[in-house]
Amino acid sequence: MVSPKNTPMLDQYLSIKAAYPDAILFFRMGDFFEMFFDDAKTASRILEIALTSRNKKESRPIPMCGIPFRSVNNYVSKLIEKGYKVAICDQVEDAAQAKGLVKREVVQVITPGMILDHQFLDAGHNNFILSMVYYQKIYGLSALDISTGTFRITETSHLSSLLEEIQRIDPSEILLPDETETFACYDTVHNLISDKLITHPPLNKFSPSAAREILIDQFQTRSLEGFGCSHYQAGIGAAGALLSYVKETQKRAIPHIVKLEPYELDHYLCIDDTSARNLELIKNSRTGAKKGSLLGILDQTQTAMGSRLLAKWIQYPLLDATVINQRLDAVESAVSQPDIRKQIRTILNNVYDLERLSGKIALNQCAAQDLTALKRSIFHLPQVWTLIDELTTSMFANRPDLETLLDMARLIDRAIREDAPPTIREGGIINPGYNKELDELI
Amino acid sequence: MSRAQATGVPDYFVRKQTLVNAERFITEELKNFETKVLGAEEQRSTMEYEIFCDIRNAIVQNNKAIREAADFTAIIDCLMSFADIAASNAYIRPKIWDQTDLIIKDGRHPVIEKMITAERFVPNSITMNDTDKQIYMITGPNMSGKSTVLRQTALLVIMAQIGAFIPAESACLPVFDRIFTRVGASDNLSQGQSTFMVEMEETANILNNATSRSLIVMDEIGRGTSTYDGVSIAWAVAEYLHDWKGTGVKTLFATHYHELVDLEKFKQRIKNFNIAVKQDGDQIIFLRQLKDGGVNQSYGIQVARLAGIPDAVIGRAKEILAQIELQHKDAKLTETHATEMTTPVPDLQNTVPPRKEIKAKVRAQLSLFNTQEKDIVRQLMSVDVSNTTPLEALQFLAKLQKKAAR
Repeated sequence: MVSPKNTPMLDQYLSIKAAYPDAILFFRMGDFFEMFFDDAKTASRILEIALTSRNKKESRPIPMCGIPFRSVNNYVSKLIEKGYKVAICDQVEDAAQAKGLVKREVVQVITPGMILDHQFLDAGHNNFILSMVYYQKIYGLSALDISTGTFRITETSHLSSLLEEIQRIDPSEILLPDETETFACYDTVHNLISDKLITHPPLNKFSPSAAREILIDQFQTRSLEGFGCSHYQAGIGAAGALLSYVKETQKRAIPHIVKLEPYELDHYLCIDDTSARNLELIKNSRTGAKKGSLLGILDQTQTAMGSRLLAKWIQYPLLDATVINQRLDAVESAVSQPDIRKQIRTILNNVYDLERLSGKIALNQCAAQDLTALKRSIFHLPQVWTLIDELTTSMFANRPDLETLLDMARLIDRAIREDAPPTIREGGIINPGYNKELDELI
Repeated sequence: MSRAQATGVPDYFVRKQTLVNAERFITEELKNFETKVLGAEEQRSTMEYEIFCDIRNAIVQNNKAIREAADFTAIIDCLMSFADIAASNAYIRPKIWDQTDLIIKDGRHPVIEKMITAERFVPNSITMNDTDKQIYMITGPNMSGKSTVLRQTALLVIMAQIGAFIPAESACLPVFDRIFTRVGASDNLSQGQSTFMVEMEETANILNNATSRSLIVMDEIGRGTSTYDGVSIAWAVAEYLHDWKGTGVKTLFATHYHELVDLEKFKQRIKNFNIAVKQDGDQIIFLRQLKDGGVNQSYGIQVARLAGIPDAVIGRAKEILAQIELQHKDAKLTETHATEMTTPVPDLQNTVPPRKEIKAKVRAQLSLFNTQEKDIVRQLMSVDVSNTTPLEALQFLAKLQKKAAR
């Protein structure tokens, strides 16, 4: 594969590629991302772009294809959809100032579970990465949606419950320890989700003690007791391995993951996967679409957060009559006051996807419009908080305080121009009057 | 400045350019202003970006608060959604009680009632308890609506347990811990798995994991094997669920094996029901209403006609049915249900393509069909329906159709 005399650039490529053998490497060269060798063959086929070659005169030309760097998102999402990983290798110094070869580094690895762009995500569905480990006869399970920051954790001692839960979570990507031959259950899980991208981090990443460390570090807490999951071992192992995988892949802090949500499978009505499909709870059985399913009928929600929560409620019906009645009380109250209900729904219609907005902002993938969307959404919330006072239910007793968020929204309002362009480095985003120094710059 | 005036300029005027009869000057202040203007754009972008990053960091500090607000908003949104649907579709609040009885008056299927437009959706009432109506043994022909009643009961229970109102007149429900369904054909067909194996795996799962607080829905269990095997398995499963730990499990059991109505005589908590069908001469009308008691006729041939099976085949099938019934009477093998025991009813929903296709292709060829009638009927009769997967049946049907078209 390697010709005897390599150019320095090719040497650089090969050394970076060696660290990412399982990903398609997008190698930044000026205004293009180039792919070489087998990556080029695979990518050109899937992306339907021309396959050419470098060093045509030599006896063994190098297969190559490229895409303009401005439209990288579209091409990446196509590859992700087909279950590939993509490593983005960018120029990390100014080409004009570089002495000799420009320094290049992988700045991000994108996998099916690491999509942040709203455009490529289904608003009504969580996009979970799942992690699983078998430790001391317990199956530990953890699921993380990096776009929303939802981070869940559970354990079970029954293989059948484990498999059902994996199907219920319906992840787009999964992590299993690299020593899968030690227990047969890994094979079973593998077969169940063989169409999904599977990554095998080393087994020591799943060790509960190491995992606990990384989780405590993320949440800046002294223990995991505050989340109610300090009694877990296997589950913590799965969650820790998942968090370190995401951090390594993202190559940056992920500050919007602020809590761990433990749940017990036997606290919910158990509906196995076959029954869920038979009853068409989430998808209809003919086309797999939401329309014609129970979710399709019940989901008249106005926000993306609401839509995702409703799908979760249908998948996890309650067993506790008190909590069921709490919800029913709220519904009854809203049924009897159609005006209040309509007003609330009209306002909610203007609330954007707060979870995914905060994810984008936290991961530095946002533009000025995202901040404006966040601001507008927050400004709508006090009205909703006031309207729910009219409903007689204990469901809304503990409403979160909005003062901090309103302060934040006011800050955004003062600073960010509503007509800001989609780029954040070319100016035109800060309001006049916000910053004196800036105003003096004519 | 003209040359004449230029002599008297102050010394902070720096000469910049000399023209034919004029001098150009610049001052320190003007020079700085020029740099400021030229560099401003770039400086400005950089500074705006820095301010933007500061604000972004301030937002990131509030992640927890944003999340809490988002979670709370989502809950409000869901409950308002439930209320809105309840109001526009006449749903009611189910009563969740600590008794074990399930009482649904005039329940409807939430999805199907919205999809059918041609006819009115027929509501059905169900009362299950752990004393004399624990296992509903529901008989009735294919397509009569057995599956709808079964599924809608499971769906209403689920809706109630997520805290939603439900489509019914009134309902009192216990809290169930598990819902199991074994319904219709499995979608593993295309993977070439035996339907019967899948069916039995699903049944095994139910029998091994059910509890006294579970709800089980069994639709046409035993259909994937020969009639005798099928009846025996269905019978044994029903018995097992009735006898489970001495208390039994609430089960909706739909079957077209009419032998199973006899179970009511032996098992106190099993009760027979049927989905009413009106026979008008050779035609049947589905009333879609759940009624007390079993039925002893399958109306298989009538349903076959409804599905668009050519008249020639229907006629011949009737002859064969009459013959078989006669044989069994002679052999004194049977009681009333013998026809069902010896005449496996093909799975119509799975083996027959939509009516339109058949009408278009086969009926147009009726004149030719007659000349080949014998051959086709002979082939049809040679098929062992009970050992045919729906996929094979479809392929066979396609072959027959091709032959008829020739």
